[in-house]
Amino acid sequence: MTVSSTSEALISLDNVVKEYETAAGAYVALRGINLRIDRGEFVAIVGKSGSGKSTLINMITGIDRSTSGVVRVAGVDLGRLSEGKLAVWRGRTIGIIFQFFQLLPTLTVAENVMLPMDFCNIGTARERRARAAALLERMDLSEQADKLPAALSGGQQQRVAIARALANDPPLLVADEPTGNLDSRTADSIFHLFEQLAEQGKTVVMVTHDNDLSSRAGRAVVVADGQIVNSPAHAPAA
Amino acid sequence: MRPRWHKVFRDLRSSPARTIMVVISIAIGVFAFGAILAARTIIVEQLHTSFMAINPASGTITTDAFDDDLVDAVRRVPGVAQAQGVRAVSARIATGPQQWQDTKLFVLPDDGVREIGFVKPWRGAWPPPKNALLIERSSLGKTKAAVGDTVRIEISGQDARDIPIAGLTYDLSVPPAVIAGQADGYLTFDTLVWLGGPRSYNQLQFVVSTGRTDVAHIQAVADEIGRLIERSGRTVINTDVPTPPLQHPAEVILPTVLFILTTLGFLSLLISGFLIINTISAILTQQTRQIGIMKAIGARADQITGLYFALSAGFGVLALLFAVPLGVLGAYGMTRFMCDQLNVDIENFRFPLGVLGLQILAALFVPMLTAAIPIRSVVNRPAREALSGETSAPPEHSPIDRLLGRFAGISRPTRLALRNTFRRRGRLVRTLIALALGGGVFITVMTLRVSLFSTLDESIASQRYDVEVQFSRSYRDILANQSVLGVPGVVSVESLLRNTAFPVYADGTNGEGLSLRAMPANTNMFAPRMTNGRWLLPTDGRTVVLTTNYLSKAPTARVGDEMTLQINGNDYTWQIVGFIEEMIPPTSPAWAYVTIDAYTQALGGMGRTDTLRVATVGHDATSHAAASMALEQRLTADGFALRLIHTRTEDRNILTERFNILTGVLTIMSLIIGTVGGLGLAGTMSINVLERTREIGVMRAIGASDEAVQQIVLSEGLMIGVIAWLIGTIISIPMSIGMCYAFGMALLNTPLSWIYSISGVILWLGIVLLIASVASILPARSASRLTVREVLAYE
Repeated sequence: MTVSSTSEALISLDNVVKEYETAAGAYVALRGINLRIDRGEFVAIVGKSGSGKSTLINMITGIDRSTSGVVRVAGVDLGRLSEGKLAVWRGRTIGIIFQFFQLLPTLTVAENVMLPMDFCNIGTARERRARAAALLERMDLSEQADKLPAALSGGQQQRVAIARALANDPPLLVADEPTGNLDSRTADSIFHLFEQLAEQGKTVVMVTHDNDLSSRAGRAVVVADGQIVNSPAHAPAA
Repeated sequence: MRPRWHKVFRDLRSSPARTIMVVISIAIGVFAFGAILAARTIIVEQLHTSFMAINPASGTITTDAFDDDLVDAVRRVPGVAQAQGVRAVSARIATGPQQWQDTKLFVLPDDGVREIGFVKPWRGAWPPPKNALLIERSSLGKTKAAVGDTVRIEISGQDARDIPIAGLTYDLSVPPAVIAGQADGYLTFDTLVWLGGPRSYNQLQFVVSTGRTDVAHIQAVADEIGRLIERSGRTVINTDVPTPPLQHPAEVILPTVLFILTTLGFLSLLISGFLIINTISAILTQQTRQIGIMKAIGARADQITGLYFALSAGFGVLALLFAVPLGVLGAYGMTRFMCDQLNVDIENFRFPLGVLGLQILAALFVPMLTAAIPIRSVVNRPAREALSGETSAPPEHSPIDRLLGRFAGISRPTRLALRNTFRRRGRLVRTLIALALGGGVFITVMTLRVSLFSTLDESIASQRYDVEVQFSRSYRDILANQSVLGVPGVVSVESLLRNTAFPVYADGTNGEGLSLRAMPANTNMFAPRMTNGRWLLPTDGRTVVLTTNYLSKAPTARVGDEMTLQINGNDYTWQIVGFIEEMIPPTSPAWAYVTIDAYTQALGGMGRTDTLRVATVGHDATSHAAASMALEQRLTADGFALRLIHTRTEDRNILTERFNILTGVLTIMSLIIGTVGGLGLAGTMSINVLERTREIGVMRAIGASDEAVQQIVLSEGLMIGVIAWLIGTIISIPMSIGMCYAFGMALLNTPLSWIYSISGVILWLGIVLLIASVASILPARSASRLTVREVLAYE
């Protein structure tokens, strides 16, 4: 729970504001967020529903753009990238895991894992197959490789999603409530996977509203009303 | 294969009903477009090839009787490759008691082999046996006889004789029987003489040695032959150089029919395009979140675009599997039908590779091009929106809602259905366009049909006689009138003289012969429908009124112009005072009307007649047949030599036969387009139900019955059907006006009288409601069968 120096930070958000235009008028989701996350950190972002935590990780993944402020991830100012370049950058730099797994229903488990490598043109077909097989083995899912996602349990699907996130060997994993749709035992095993990945050097940013799980992360960032309320990391950058 | 392409294949397979719907939509468009285009290509090529194979004449010169010596002399004229003498004689064949079929007899050489305009043996005897007749195969039906039967035949001015039909021929140089309305027979000179005809030629046909497509060159050779004929002491009555050369007579009307069919083919492809947009949009809407995920894991917009283009092309490839064989079958059927009508054999049916290429291009690129619009809009949506699954702006309180709010009596489910109808406006518009275009074309074709027959009736009605009697020669009109007026049921009779007149152009050449009718100016038997100028006056001198189809041969002719007409070998100058509408195909000669007084002053024949127009008490088919029989009996008994008797009923029947073919083909096309439109509605309804699965689940969770859910879906389908019917009805008005104009001008040289088909409008309403019901019932049933658990779990 420390502010890291800019040179070491994998993620840095400076005065990030996000406003949405709605039928009811402008809605401010993030109000001047400042945040640093170092390489290899395991950070849990916690907060109530509607607090702005998902918006915050959308800023980090480049899925959404800030209204003002600067978002830098792995040395790249995301605001300066076009949508196309952002997609390629994201594919190589970030592995994203969603609450509802979001596997493509018409692709097999192995194909889902190979898809990011396909889009980012990483490796040959043989190499992609081999990597997907290795990742699925690591997730203990080798036997499910040729099944469609619908044939898997929730926990298995989430492990496939993690394998997919790891496909391009990104330095950063971002998970949006990855255990929110799982029973407590499965959630625990999934969380344990994230812990292992962080230990292996991956930077993990996880949104959760489970206080028990967040306490197991290296650092918890609490978001309320679009602001970071618990961490000195919201102080302006030096 | 890369995983992304697996996704394309699985998407194609994942929803068979949806895939089948899109594939059928594309396939019908590509099939109709390919079949029509292929038929068009094959017919034009086959007609040309077949026509060239008979060695058509470069020109035909009509002159006084001549023999083989003149033909030999013509063969030596520079530029002439081949020449032959022809004898054509007007005759009639009895088809029943006092019923006759107008027939043209052609003399063939004893061995049957012509040098020019080959006549081929088709069935039975060949060459024509002595005292026997061969009939052109397409006109056998008109004689109401079969090969081996003996028929009664009478050539102009001679006694009737019984003659066997010994076989059939195939002659592509004569217009098809269905167009010409006459039968064609073939015999030898010996047989013609036995029937009372002359043993001499009256037409000289020639083929130029070079430049067979050069009209000026052919005309120069014809002029040279003409000079030779005149040096032999004969008169050149007419020189006919077909323009353009080497063109089958039916090729004049073919482009219009094919143009209309091709337009309909493209239209069905266009409608398919709208349906593809709808379906691809629906797929993209369903897969919005998947697109968001793909973006999140690194897919670029162009990669995602590629995926959906490939999916669209996949639909196209599947459609080709049906469209190509169906297109071949359709092209064969259409070619066969058209070739039968044109009396052309399909010697080598090969589906044109060019058309196959176009079908492939259309099947692949039309879906891709049309899908580009929805793909672009969805793929360019920000990743956050795509991931959230947002597919459109939330519904607002629209004017439709406010309007519905005013009608308190409308039930809640119906109100919901009406609101749903307008929810996806883009999709609604495309569905309406598809269905309305189908309806527009259907009503247009029905209107065209009604207008054709109405114009036909007007034309027939303008002829206020019931029976026309043509004599083989002229008689004193007083005697002829007395004989006819003695027939029971005859009300009045009018005497005419008929002839053939050849327009003489400024360069001294002759145009195609006009059918000349010299009649009283204040005729009671004819109510001319003037398009320009005026009708003949009793005080007129040499004035002439022409039928409008003359303008297709001499487009610059105007009222007030003077024209020289060569009649019986002499030139006479007449002033054009008017043009009238007559239902005459462009392949037929134009008609020229002059006063009988001016005619007889110029050519003699005062007080004589060779044609009588007779009005009878009854005007129906039975009365006409009875009158025709009675007149024949009386005139024959009184010693008049008859050439032909025809009634207005018979004239109408000949034209009806022609129109039925055209409107039949058009009706089939309009039904195909209607089917594509119906498929569009079915697709839209399925998509709407699919997209609202969760909403339906909620309704069922709060107590909506099966009937209520079905009512909502059905009402929505019927609503779309009714709106499409309304739009189709409105657009059919300008469409049918344009079609009636184009069709009339191309086929009859006069716009058709536009009579809007109210029955077509009502019939289409019935069809559209049926389509809408059928298109909605299946989605409605599947919607009502969904369990609440299934629906609320739907993602």
